[in-house]
Amino acid sequence: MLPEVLKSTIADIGEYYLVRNLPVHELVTQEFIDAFVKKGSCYALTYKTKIDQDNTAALLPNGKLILSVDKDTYEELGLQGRPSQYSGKKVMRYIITIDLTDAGFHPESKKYNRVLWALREKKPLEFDFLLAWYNTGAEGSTLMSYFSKNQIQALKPKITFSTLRDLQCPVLKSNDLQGKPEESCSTEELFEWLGAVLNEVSLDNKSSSFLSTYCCPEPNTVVEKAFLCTITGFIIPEKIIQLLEQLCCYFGEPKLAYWLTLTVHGFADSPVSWREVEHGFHKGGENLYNFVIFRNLDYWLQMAVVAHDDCPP
Amino acid sequence: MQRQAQKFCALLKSVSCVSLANPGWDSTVSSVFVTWCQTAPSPGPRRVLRRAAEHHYLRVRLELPDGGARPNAAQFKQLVVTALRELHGEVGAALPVDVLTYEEKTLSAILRVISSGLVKLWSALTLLGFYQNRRCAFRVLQTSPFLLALSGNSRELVLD
Amino acid sequence: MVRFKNRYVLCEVVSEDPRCRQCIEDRALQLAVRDAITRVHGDYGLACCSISFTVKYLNAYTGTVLLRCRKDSYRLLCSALPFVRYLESRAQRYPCFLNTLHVGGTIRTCQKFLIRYNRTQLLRLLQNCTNEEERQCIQKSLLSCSLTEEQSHSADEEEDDGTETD
Repeated sequence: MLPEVLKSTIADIGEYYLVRNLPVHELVTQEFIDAFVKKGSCYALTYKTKIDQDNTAALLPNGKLILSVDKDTYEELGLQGRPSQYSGKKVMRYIITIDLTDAGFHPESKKYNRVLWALREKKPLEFDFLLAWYNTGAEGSTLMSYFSKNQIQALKPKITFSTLRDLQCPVLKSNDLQGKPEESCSTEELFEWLGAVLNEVSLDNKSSSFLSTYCCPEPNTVVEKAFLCTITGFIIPEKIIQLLEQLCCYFGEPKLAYWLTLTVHGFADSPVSWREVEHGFHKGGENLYNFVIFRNLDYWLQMAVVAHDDCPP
Repeated sequence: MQRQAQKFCALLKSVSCVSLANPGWDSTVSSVFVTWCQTAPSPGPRRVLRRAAEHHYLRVRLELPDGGARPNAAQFKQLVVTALRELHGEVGAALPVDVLTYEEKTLSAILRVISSGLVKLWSALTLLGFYQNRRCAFRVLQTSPFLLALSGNSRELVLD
Repeated sequence: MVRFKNRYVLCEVVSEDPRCRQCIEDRALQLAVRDAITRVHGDYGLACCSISFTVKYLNAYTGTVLLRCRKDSYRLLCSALPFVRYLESRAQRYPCFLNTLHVGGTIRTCQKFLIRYNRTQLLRLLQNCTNEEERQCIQKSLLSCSLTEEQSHSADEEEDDGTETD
């Protein structure tokens, strides 16, 4: 029931790497920048660090290294940064941004040496890093061989498939965001319903039920079969775009389905969320978006963030 | 048929092409929900809802000493209501709380509560100490204004 | 240093039972109100209201009561007052209820309100009079009431509250 091409896209979602105890200065060395940052999009994120209590770091595909550090570390490092947006009156957290692809950032420059010295000798920072690299050109050296002297391990995203039977689905109209009673459901109702399906919440409660009064939004239809696929791991945007394109192609031939959705959860402890917008944890730290693609290729993009986050672009 | 692919992506590069200047945000906003409709040729309407979430969701786990009876779903809900009544009286007990899912094996549940009652529910759960004269504790694992966000927790991502 | 802001809740105890008047006293009332708050708002509500909560003034004869609490928590207190159903004294319960008349920021505004309120109550009594004797009695007290109000700037607040309603 699932087209082969989609299946292969999902299977080919790419692998990522986990490097244990990697000193941050390894990421700013000239060899690393030349080999990976400038030759494709290189992604890195610290693993098992909490944005609201630990130091965290991330490397963006545009070559920016972002360090979110507490006050003590910031003062020890002695690198230029700015106070975090969410730390209140008494600043306890700082954001340091280092542009690795900057023209002035080369081995002879003062800035380069200062950064290297700070990260190597002044305050050696070490993290477990999640790494991924994407390039379209010819393969040079791989991350695997580059970090072979560190503890590196290649990981595959965990993929689970499941088929849901006789599922109550809300009725949607692509040109009607707010929904009308009796005709279609609003986007918020859909969003809640999606969450209910993913968390295996029962959808057919009575309003008088003691346990739960949640029920499927009206109007709804019963769908015989629904397909659910979950991919968990460090997934890079290029692959998501690929998957999205494949999902759009799915409607190339006439299908029974009226719409499908694609949800992407961001890491709660990433120092950035959308583009380079600063991200904080506050209560839940969630930043996620959801595509709803309709048969006529209209789409809705729903983006949700919590308090410690700017509005997505 | 409906398909879903749920993913963890660290560095989200915006997939869409439209960008708007950020309006001044006030940092106490509890949630932002943006919807965007796009029809093929032209960008469609955009709706930004701030502080709009009607409900909050909590993923909780009840900790009990080993052995002894485990509460079933109805007893679990009763326990939550008891906790609310203890700390916030009849007014608290009247707060509409839904037990969306409950797993007796792991004693974990997802609760739904009106946003204005989140603090009451959270505090009541935290301060509950006994279940049937046995020590117990509620652990609030995750909380969010979006139910969808509870389906994945990157802090629980365990590799190897 | 900013002063702590309080709210004063003026209420009257209404009871069918004439014996109830004897038991209108500080302790019994405080207990009854605390009990109601615990029932309605739980431990949290009680703790909030307990800060600087006292029965500031009490007149057993007229049933007037003035309660004080912190400004932040007066809503909790006010919402719990209707749930006071009896006063308990010497192991005996007398059914009654509290009628909230006014919520003020100072004792003075509450006193002013009480005087105005009692005067209108007297006028209403006057209209409902059935015989001449009653009528004259009320008229007399009305006059005396206006007199005490003139003096009230200097007089002790508790005193004139008592006389005006005679």
